[in-house]
Amino acid sequence: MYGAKASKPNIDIGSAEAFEQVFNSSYNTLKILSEVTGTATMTASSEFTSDIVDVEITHNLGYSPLIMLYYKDPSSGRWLQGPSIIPGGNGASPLGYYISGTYVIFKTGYNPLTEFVLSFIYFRDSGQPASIDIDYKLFLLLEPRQDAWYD
Amino acid sequence: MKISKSGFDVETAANKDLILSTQFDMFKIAKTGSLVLNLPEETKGDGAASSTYTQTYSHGLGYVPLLIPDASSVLTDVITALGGGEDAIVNDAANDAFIMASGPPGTNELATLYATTTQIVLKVVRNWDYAGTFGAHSVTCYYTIFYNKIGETFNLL
Amino acid sequence: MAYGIKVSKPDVNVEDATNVQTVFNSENNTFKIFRGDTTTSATNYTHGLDYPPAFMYFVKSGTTWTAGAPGYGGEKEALVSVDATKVYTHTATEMYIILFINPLNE
Repeated sequence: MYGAKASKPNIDIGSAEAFEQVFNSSYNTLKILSEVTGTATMTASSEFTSDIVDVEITHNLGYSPLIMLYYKDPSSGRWLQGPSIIPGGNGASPLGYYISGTYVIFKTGYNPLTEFVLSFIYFRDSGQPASIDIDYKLFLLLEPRQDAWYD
Repeated sequence: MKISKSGFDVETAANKDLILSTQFDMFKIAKTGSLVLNLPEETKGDGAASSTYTQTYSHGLGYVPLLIPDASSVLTDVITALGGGEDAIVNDAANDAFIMASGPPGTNELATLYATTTQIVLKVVRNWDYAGTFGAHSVTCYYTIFYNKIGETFNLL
Repeated sequence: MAYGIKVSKPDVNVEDATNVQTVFNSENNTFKIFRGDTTTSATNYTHGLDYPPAFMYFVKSGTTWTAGAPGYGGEKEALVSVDATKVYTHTATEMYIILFINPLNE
């Protein structure tokens, strides 16, 4: 075998199984193309109304890449993995449905071969602030979602 | 072995400023592929028993591997006015939100990708809360599995 | 690429390798996994860093594991969160959580 490999602590590299190695040049790994950070500010002028903020992220890779999305819940200060929702709050959605919470999701209708569009949707309930800021971080990976490693 | 980010001295760089360090584990891709379910047209009445379809891949690792995408009870098809019978890609559906007041309609088609010690499984379940027809269509999931094990407790700091 | 390390996939000339044909390229950051833990309750634990780290989690159901939270195509609540010192789990369902050195606040 030509290449490089490294084993986990206290594991003999000569006999290490794949899961006992931290690096092996024979195995592809997830490589980060870019890290996109920002803050989405949503303003719902009165209770039981909502706001949407879309963030376009252009990659122009020509294929749909793997991504990992995280965002910070402004009320707790904790980071969550997206797409997901922060539950709580009731109100009318801009789509006409009765839903609740704050959504951090990917918008439909974009072309994944060239871009992603993050959609932040805030439904303001009774007692909730008029404006909220959602910090986010997106890891855009080089690996495509399909055939990230081909034999 | 370690490699620092551009602009950082590798001798003094903090861990977060390293590109690679063999002190830490990395994702090691074992296999990628697609699971495809070709689902038939199916009609059932109010409250009928659900239908379950699966497609599997035997990974041969002997343990449960890390996998992506994140796909658990992903809505792939809803009949009635919202349409039905279109080919679905689970990776797209997992990212696209279907926003409803209290979850999807009771008549729906949900996909899950999961791993066991021997297999990767794409499972699709059709539920009939009310009567309806699901059109024939395919459900595809692109998966990536890693040599990294689920359940392994460790701390490399 | 003036200085650095690049490794191509087998049977691919590293000089000609595209991004998707490289195993490793020092121009691209990687996820550095430093910790793996299993939880079976809604709890929290100190992760050992002083900033919020990126993470992934897997949820167990019977003998099967899925990545991330259960839900209906996006309408799903995250089951794990982190801040500058701790990891928080929001469910008693068994989960496996891996943490990365990679920060979320930079």
